[in-house]
Amino acid sequence: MNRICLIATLTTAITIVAQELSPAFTLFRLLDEDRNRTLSAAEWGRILQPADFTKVDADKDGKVSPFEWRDFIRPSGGGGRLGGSSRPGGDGGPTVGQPAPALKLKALKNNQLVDLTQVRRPTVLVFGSYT
Amino acid sequence: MRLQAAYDQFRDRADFYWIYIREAHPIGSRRPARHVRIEQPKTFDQRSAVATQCSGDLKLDIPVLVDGMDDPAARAYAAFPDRLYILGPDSRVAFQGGRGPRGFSVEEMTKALAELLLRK
Repeated sequence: MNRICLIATLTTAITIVAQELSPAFTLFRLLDEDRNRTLSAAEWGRILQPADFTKVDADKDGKVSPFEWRDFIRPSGGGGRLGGSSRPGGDGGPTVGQPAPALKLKALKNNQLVDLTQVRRPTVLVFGSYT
Repeated sequence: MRLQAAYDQFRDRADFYWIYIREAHPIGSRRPARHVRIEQPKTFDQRSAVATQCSGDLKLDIPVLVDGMDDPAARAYAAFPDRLYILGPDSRVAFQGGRGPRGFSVEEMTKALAELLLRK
């Protein structure tokens, strides 16, 4: 009986460690400054929306646990278009440190041209189509 | 993390653009998409219309830019069929994601963006 309990405990522990090492927890680890495996409101608010902290802190104990983070993050993997395994960089295109290619594109909302060599703050470009 | 969630979290500190490029699996291609049936747009207006439909159907609030019919954005960034990039405030590349679909990782982009914002 004790052996079964030990195996069950070990399996649970391995599952938790594997989960916390997964890509979905990368941001969690970056924000967890004191490495206590929870996020305080201050750690959360370093770059995430402060108003969301209380929503994600489901048990209202003033910190976001790995379990609450998992529910918040809902990883997009599992074969969806926006998930998939990693193959960073490569395959052509400008590399880190290179200037943004000269490019002006029309905004769908107002037909204004947006110059992608003149950004004012970090700018995420999501290239894609419907299919 | 889904793209919309990343946008919701970081929109106050970073700009996001979804750049609508040439359809990857339109009707009549070797492997047409099954989740939605789309013709390859032949004019810029058609391309804009599909971008509007897609943005609405996927419930994405991210501002949309439409690539030109000679595909200047997809070519310049080698971004076909999908890809993520981050430009720094100096207008230089701060993160180069892998080419989709296998290389497309919102998690990696989010990590790079967080590191960029925490460095400031």
